[in-house]
Amino acid sequence: MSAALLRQVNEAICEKATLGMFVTLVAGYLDPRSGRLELANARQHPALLHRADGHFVEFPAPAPPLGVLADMHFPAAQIHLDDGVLYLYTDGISERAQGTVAELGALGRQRLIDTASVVAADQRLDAIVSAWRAAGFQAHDDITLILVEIPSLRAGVVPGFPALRFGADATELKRVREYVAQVTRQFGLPSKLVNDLVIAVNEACMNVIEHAYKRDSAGEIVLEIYNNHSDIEIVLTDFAPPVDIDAIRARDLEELRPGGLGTHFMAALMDSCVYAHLADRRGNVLRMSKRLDV
Amino acid sequence: MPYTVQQESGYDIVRLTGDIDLSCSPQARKTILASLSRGHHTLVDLSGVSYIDSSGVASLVEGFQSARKQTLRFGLIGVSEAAMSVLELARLDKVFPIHADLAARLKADG
Repeated sequence: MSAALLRQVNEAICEKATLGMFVTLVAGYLDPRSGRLELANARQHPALLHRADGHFVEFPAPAPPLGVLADMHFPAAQIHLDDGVLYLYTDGISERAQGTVAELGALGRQRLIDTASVVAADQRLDAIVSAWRAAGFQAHDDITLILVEIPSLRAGVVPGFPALRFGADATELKRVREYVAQVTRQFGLPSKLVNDLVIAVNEACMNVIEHAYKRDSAGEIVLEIYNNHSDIEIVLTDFAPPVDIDAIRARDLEELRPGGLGTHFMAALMDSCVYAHLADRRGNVLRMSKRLDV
Repeated sequence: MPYTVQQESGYDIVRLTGDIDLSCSPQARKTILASLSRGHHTLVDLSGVSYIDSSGVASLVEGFQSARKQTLRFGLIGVSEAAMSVLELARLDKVFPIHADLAARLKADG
């Protein structure tokens, strides 16, 4: 739908416009119930999706601007918004920040991470603009920054509980357990379930420390906990080399030996444990969920 | 943090306390295996344990296996609720000899 729209607008501009004029434009069609977004981009900046697990996915614009050539095709990207936030923005920041997502990268990304789970959308936009100004970036043109999110799909984000970032070190585990207990108690979960979630997260972190980072305590781990009301979702991200996902499995308990228990604990305590790699082999994500009786 | 070892009624009693996680399970393991390597019957007192993770449980399994190899007596006493739920999760609650305290263990020894 958005691709067809850009195609029509392009035809109209090509017919009417004076030679040498062109227009950059992004058009999208959002289904707010499913969180599916179809986005066609005629040379605007790549759309940037800030996923709830803290990572950024870029959707570049493969098509030329409008008004350059008639009979052009404008492919649309299919974006699952889920519990993430999509940012669309124009340039007009300054020459040196121009061109790529680097401008959001240099100035805004950490800002987005810091504020995403805490404040409302309009305050977040203000915070980003303030960060730009504070960094001394001068606008030589008007700036448009659009934020797209579906609050109902982000319902689990509890204000006051941003992601916990910690070093891949065994001495951090106590703090991690306390954080999990604190957040899940705040969700009003029964103490047995709180304890189970604490154990599952602790074991997952141990696996990351020992097997992903191989005890390199310089590594970083990010923990996020979401209350989706029908389930609790826990996302653990690391930036270690990709692990062999097929090799992760619980061992047979009949065999009496030390080690290998952690994965069994996680499988026994959670309803699902799904492993994935970050794009470009930059790390690993474990998404665990536990159904709630509602 | 070093763990205390007390000798009583023919046993070394290793008293683990606090959270036995990856940051201190190597110390727990070392303490348990040290008693066994001296040829002492060994009991691990878990009454002061507020949390134990799979690495802590693995230390207990190693102690148990080492004792069996040397035909030494080994077991757990005073297992706290937090520790017991994890032993159950590992299905080791029926594998380790577990007693309420030293007196109960001595009575079972006969």
